[in-house]
Amino acid sequence: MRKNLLSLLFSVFIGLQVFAQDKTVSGKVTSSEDGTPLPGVSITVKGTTKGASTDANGVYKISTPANSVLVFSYVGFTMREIQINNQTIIDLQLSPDAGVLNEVVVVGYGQQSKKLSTQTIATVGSKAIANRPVLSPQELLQGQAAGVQMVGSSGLLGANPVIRIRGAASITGGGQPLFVVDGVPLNDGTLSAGQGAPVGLNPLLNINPQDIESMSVLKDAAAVSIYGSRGANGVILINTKKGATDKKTEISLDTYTGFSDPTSLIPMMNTAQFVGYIGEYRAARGLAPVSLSNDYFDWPTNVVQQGRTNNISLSARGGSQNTTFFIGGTYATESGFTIGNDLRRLAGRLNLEHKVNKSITVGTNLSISNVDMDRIGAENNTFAPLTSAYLQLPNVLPRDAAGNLVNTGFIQNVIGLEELNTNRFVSKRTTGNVYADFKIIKDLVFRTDFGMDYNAGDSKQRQVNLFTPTGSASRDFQYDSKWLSTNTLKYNKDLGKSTFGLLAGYSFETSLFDRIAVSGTGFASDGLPNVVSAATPTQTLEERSEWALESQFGRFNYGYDNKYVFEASLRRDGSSRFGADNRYALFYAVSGGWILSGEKFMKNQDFINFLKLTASYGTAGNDRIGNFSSLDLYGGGVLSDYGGSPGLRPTQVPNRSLTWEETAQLDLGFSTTFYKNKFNLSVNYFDKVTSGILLDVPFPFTTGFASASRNIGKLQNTGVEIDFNANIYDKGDFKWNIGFNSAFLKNKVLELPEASIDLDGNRFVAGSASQRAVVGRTLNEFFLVEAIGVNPTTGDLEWRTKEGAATTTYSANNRVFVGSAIPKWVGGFNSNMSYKGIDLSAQFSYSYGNKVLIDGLGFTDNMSATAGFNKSVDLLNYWKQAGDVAFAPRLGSSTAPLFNQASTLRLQNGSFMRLRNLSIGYTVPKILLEKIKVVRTLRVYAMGQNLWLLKDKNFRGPDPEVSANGPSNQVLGESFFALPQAKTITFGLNLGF
Amino acid sequence: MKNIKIALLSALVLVGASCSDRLELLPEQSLAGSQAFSSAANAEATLRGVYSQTQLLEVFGSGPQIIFDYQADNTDFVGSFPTLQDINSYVTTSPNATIQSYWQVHYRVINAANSVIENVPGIADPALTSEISKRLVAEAKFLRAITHFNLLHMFAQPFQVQSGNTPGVPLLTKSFTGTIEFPARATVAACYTQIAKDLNEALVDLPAASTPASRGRASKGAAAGYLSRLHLYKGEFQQAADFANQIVSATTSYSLATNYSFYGAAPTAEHVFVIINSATDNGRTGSGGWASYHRPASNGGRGDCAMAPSLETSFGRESTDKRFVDLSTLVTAADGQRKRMTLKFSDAANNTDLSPLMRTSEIYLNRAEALAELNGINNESLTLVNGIRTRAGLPAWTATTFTTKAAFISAILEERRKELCFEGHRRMDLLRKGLPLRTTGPTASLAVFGGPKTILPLPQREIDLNKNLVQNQSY
Repeated sequence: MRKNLLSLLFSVFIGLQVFAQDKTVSGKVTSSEDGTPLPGVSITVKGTTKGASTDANGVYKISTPANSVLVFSYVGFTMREIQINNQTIIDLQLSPDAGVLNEVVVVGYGQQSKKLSTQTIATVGSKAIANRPVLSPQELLQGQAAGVQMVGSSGLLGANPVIRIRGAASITGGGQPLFVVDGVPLNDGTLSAGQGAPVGLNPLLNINPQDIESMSVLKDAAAVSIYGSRGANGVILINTKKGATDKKTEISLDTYTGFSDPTSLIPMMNTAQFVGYIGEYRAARGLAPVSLSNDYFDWPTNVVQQGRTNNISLSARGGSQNTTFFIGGTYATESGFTIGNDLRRLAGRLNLEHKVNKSITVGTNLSISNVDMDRIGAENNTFAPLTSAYLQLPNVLPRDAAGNLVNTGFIQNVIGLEELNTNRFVSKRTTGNVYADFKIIKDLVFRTDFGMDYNAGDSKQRQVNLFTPTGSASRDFQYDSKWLSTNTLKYNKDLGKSTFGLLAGYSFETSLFDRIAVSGTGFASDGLPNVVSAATPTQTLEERSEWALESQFGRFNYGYDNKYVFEASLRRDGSSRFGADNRYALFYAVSGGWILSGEKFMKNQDFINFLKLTASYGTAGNDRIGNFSSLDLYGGGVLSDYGGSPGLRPTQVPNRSLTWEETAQLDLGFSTTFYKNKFNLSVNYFDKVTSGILLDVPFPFTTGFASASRNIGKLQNTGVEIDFNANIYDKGDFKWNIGFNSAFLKNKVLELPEASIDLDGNRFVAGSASQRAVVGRTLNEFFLVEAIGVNPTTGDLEWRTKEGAATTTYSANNRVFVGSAIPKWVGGFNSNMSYKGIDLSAQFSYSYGNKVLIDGLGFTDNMSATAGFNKSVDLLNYWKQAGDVAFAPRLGSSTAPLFNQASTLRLQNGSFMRLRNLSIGYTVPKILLEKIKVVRTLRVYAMGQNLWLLKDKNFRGPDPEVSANGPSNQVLGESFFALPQAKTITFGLNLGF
Repeated sequence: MKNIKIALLSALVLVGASCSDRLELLPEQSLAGSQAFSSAANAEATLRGVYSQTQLLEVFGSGPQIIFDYQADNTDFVGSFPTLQDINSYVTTSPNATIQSYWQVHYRVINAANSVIENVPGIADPALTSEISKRLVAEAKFLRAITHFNLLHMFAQPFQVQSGNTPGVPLLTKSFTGTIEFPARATVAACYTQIAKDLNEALVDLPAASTPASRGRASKGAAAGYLSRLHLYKGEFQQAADFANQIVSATTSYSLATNYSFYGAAPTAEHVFVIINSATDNGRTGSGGWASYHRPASNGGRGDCAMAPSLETSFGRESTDKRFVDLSTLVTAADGQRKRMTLKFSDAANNTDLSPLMRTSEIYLNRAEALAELNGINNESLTLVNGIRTRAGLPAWTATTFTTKAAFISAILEERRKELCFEGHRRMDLLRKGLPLRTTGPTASLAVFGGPKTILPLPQREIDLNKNLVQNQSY
């Protein structure tokens, strides 16, 4: 009835126009997306009040002067203007405003319209991270955002991963980005020891991935400079789940259970192979035969098991007019695929916001968590199950004839260790903030925010008498306790075409590290678990260290006509870590954007729906230089005492000018949406130069010191990042979209003044025995003797001299640069499909052009008969007669005992592509659920992690995706025997009430 | 109105409430320099820190001292340590890591001493009386002097070569405060002057030695003793004799022990200056230590330093010498051969042996030699030496034992060799007399007086980092 009435009115209206003797134009308006007619589109004659709108079939008719311009507008679609030019029928399509471009992005200390932002930020949304069976937030970033390289350092539970945003911007300083959870920058010092791996456990193990709504990766200077002296490594903003205004409370129950296995193991000799090989080796070298036990125990397969993972999360979110909330809790258990490696996590979160009155809002975000781990050693540690399982001789048995566990000596009986020893780590963390917003006048808001982050790690070990005579015990309790106060003023003004935004802030942040450790040996009984029962205390340690950061910061935005945007930001940091002469640091960024698609000349085409060009330049710093590196220090202890009395001696050089490392970054980019808003593409070029890099500079000894840290190095990262998303099909029940991201990175060390010089005159800083940062090359350049291989004629292994000739003499002087651990190209791609209730998604990540060093091969490739370690089965492929193309040299060759010397034989091609995640789910239709009434939503799914891996066919080692040194910038892509990544299959259920 | 208040308040919070004093944080595991020199107690501790470092193997903990004996003809290094073997064979090269670490630690001591000298006088603490303050500075000057002196012996020609107009070592008299300086080598003569200046200044403010423990600290006697040695090395015999007399005449503090039981862990009247070691606080490292070098593996040592045939010959001339009969034994040395080794350092298990840097007998010999140089054969010299000979079970000399001054002096030197062997004196005792370090064997031609290889090369690392340093000849 109403519709008819409207039609009638329109007819009358149009009739009137005819009488005015204007031209009548008619046509049909449809959606560019699917061609469906658009009813209710408003059509106006530009410069007049004349107007009309489309009917239910998208048809319109309007009377207008011949030379006028018609303006078509419709909510959610891009407005179009059409010159009539004597046309009488104008059919046209309107394109939807790309949904993604209406999104809001989270930036430092605020939010912005993604469309108008000039910052380069990658957002990983809830869809990409929901239900992923991972333990830490870093893992969620893998392959998800261009320019973010995330390498799981191993398959160990809680391993500390590598994250590099746009390359590493430091050498000896820390390489981790700054993680900020709901405005609270996290403590990220590891509170546990490495136990064989060079780094301890992931310090963000207590940040519950189930709580995360989205993550924003701040990349360019425009985005990070507001984090000042901590922004140079990039900043990752973690936004946790929040409530919603005026929404019925939604209860969600998410649970999954899964099974994990190692992706691969290294094949080692069995007893028959080992005894046979030793016999042949000894015979070939004229050594007297020895009699070896023929017992056999397959250590590697006996220390791996099928891992289990279970997770249950229960949450409620909702809100009234004045109060919104999210309350959630997670209980998770996981046992790794290696014996003795278990984890339990209990985490809770409360996010609450309440509007007190028109001008005051208060809120809190608070999380508490407890992670309880049964740890194992890893990498270069004979207490590490998998390492020792590889190295243990196959004829050594874990138990004697009576079935009792035995001590197997230096290569530990890891089965016994896991059964009898204690190796526990408990981590408790409370992170959160309380805040209040005051609306002072219209458009002006003052926020005061008090945040805290308490992270404690408690390690306990106990070795029984069988494996450590008389027994030993240790306890090590450490915590990082931070509080900060942040006060900001925000002013936003809309003056018609011009818009202004202003942010000014002050923050003070301080953190205390505290540690108490005790250990002792000599226990009357294995039944006494604690250090107090030890006869000899071997360590009593207490240490504390504090730092503080005081900052002022501001940001100014100006926009004109939604076409031209400009932003400037500034931050001044005063840090207790900086030397007295350089205590305050100033960082800035300027950026601009031009939304070309807003210009007139872009209106006459409809291929490109949105196009923005951005440019930014600015600075950020890295304050990870140690807490007291600038002071002259005097230390006590056993090197200072004399004649029975304590003393003090100078231990650190004063360096009053010691300060932050500064990274200046240029970013040029464009982002566009095209072809009916189906495709999104953004491309960014960056050039990042870090100067004032902290280096240990050797001093003449006449100063009384060997070296000190100086801000003198220079490093460059340049690259291109591409993010592409395509909505390939979205009609009716079937939807399919794909995305890929990719980053090409070039890293170059520009200057290392005063650093060491190698034999060829290159300045370098050694990260490890095999890896160096070298001027003119990358930060992570492998420096090794090149092994050519076994000469088929002679059966000798040949190395290459520095001049390029083959030689059978091994010399460290022949080391050359043989590749970098830094990939040239990293990224990921994904595909998401859905048909009715069924969804299928796959996500891949890849790394190309990097090398990986497996140090453990130095042990398993030891050809010598007397080495007390098991050997790789590859050694059975040794040269036997002329013409053999063998892996290992002739047993009698003079090169055989040197086969395992550090050379390119340990260096592997680290390129890989991995099916990170594959999931299939079924969402039960709403219609069915409405009948049940109790359940609001129901989805079941199966998900697989790391199901497929493409790697070099000659790769030798556990996994190309390893890097035992975690966030260290100096050593990348090296591993002893990392645990391979786990292959996990989970089955889950998402229930909504 | 309320809004204005809030606005004012927020502006205040944003701008005004500065916490910059909270940025002045100090570490808790270490003291910042300003704190280390903030009280009398801390000042004493910083001085003990200097002693603690002189205690190390690399300074007075036996490392340089065994070299001084085996570079000469008292011992033969038979151990496996390549960098020490090189020195023994006169084929040392400048990257030699042992030499580098010796050089490094010496300057660490000197820098620590300089910090005390500079900072202690400025400490405002009533407990730090001017007397204590002066003593602390004097002790630090003493340590700076003897550390420079030790360096000079290793890296420079003796004063007797061109009257000290050869390169000595860099003299560091200021503590390092952050600005790297590249000091050149002072001449040997300039080094002697500075060392003598430090010792003379120290002598004024140092206390007299009283308790056994005070012999492990700088004292008037120790400073006078080092001045006596310095002047003797320089050939200034009157001063050598005079300074020696300060000890010889202080009979309540210093006297010759009646037997050799003073070798051990506790200082006695025999000791003018020692470094005191204990089981928990000693200079031994994995590389060695007094007893470690001088005792065989069967006693827990390394068995590296065997008595050289030349010294055996020397003792053999008077075969009843207790210093040979009682203070050395035949043992299996590091090279698997039966060798004679000293018993002066016995505790290879806990390394508690004193570092015997200066004994009364040395001072007696200093004065005896200096007086002989000045006055020829004389009674006081005879008496002084006879005390030492009698203790060794040897017949006393009389005025008629020697016919010439030269014979007398060379007999005193021979006595000195036997008395002070394995304590690090031999090298300088030969060189200051213009004598070769070795007279037999394949290295004799290199071991001549003034020979470039009789002194060690400056560490290559230092040459690379400090362009003002000139390497020793032939390195």
